[in-house]
Amino acid sequence: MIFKNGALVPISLWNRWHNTIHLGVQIIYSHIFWEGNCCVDKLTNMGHSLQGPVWLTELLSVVRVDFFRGRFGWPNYRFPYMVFFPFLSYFPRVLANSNQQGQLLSPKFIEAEKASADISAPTVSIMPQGV
Amino acid sequence: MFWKPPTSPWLKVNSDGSIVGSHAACGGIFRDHLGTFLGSLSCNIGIASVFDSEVLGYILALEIWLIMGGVTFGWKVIQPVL
Repeated sequence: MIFKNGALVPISLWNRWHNTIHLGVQIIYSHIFWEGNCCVDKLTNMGHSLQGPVWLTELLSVVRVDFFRGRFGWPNYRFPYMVFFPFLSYFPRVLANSNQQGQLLSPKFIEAEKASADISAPTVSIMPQGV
Repeated sequence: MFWKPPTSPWLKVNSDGSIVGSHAACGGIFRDHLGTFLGSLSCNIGIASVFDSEVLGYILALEIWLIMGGVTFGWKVIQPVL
């Protein structure tokens, strides 16, 4: 965007920007989404804990996995488990329908529980008044 | 989404900016046509907007490239990608 229209560059950075793009470097630019930029996303998040610019000449362990994913041509998706393991998207529902011991509950049982809760709730609230 | 290598004489710089609270940071990574790691940068900017951090990402990538990379690796061109 700023390569097309230089007026969009923030005023505080404009002088520096102007100096940089007039150094005679040939530039091709494009825009991608962050799924294709996972490496840099992690580097940027690391930047929050730094002070001033840091130049690294060695590959960090933080970005190593994503770097080799990109190098081998492996894809990065926003929701990888939904693409490769569709059944895993049911996991939260399974958790919601299970009891404390991890046993799966049938929908009928859940409805019965809800019904009993609805019945028992008013009796509890009424009891002190009755007493 | 795949990382696509640039064509042979070019280098690719992936750069990015991020905001946590009101504090900004930017980062970038330099790679050549074989996917070889040439270097990476990350920088804390302080209080800035999202757009500022992205623009500063570009600027730092180009500056650092010209100061260090251009001499070290002997390439002549640069390809920044957001």
